[in-house]
Amino acid sequence: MTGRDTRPPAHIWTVASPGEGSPTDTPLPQASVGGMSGLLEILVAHGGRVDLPQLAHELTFEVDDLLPLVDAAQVLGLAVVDDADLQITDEGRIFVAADILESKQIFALEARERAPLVRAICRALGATKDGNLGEGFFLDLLRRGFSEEEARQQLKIAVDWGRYGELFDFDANTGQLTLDHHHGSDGQ
Amino acid sequence: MTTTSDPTTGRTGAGSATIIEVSHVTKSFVSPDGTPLPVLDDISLDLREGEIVALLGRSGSGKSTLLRCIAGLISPTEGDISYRGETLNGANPGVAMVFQSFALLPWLTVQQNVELGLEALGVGTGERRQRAERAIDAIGLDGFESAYPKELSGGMRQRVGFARALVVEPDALLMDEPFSALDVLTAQNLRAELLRLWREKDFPTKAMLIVTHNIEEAVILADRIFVLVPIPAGSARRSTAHSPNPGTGTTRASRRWSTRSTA
Repeated sequence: MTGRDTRPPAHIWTVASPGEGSPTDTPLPQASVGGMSGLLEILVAHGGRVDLPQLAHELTFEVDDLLPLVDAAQVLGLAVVDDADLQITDEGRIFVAADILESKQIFALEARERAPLVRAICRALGATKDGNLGEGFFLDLLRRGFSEEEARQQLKIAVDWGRYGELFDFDANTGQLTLDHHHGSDGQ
Repeated sequence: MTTTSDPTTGRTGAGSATIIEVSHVTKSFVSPDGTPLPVLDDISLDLREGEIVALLGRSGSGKSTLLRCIAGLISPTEGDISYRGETLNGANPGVAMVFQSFALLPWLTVQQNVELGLEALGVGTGERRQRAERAIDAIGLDGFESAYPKELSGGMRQRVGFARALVVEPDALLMDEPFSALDVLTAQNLRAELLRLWREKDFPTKAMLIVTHNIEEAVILADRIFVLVPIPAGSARRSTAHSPNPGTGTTRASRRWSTRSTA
């Protein structure tokens, strides 16, 4: 527990700029990056705009199962929902056309800017001396707005996204989150 | 029904060197009461440089058995299988395999799981780490190196399966229903990534063989399809060659050898 005195103040967590959601009022959708990317690829293959109920039917998905992926694409600004249609954005088109390294970079940029919990973790880690914090720090804060199970689920999604974007890493043995200094710090 | 592929249908592979040749292979297992259970009956097919071949059939049609014979994990009852002209006698030295169930070791990290294939080849620690990192990067797993399989989504787990197979830079990649355990969208994404890798000029693997029960998947991926069909006698299967989509196949081949489709 050496990290205690280097912990950032908790307000990093709750104070958001106008228009920014906070991790507790805007939870991360339960979506894997691969699933969301697959959705965007199919969207582009359909010309960039598709009726969601029809797409769900085509994929033999329930619309409800598709929604977390749709939410993820929306949170990251890669697609927008208009009526019952899902519409790709310019950024989304670039994301789909990019090779794997570029698409990871786009994902990292968007996730750090737009996904509240990912952004909060990057900022909190960036505010420590060594870029390290235990998962307990984040779980404590998440429990203010979520049940124990939901809090763990939220952290799990954030770790998945953070790893994919190479923003931060998580060591399951020690429970430590670590900032990736190449990508995870604000650079401003 | 004949079992040889029609040379006119093998558009992409025609004229290319044969990597794997399966010749009149029969495989029977013995049931507990001693009667033989035929699974494969007189199967012949080949895999040539520059092509993706699909083995299509219902579950239980012997597809996986055939793939295991090709990998040299089990030997055929009759007939033979050769790799680059040499008849197999044990494990096939030119292939690596991707499994439906991912087959990862849960107590090892992503990095360690990927290095495992090289460890078996006796590659030293330093080179092992470098090559694993390259394979991890290529399949989009960087950032997950220190994660354990249970922390990963299904799609990411199968990326580890691919990285572990590709890290040995196999001449031919064998895949046993690699996308079947994934949801439709994750499967779509991973298939697209695999094709993207395949079309890269410096991709070291020369051919891919995929076992699938999914017709659409076979048509999307393959230059040629072998269908394992039931024969009246019982559970044995014969293969028939189809060129699913000559247009696609030709396009893919010319892209592969002339220009790259993406920057």
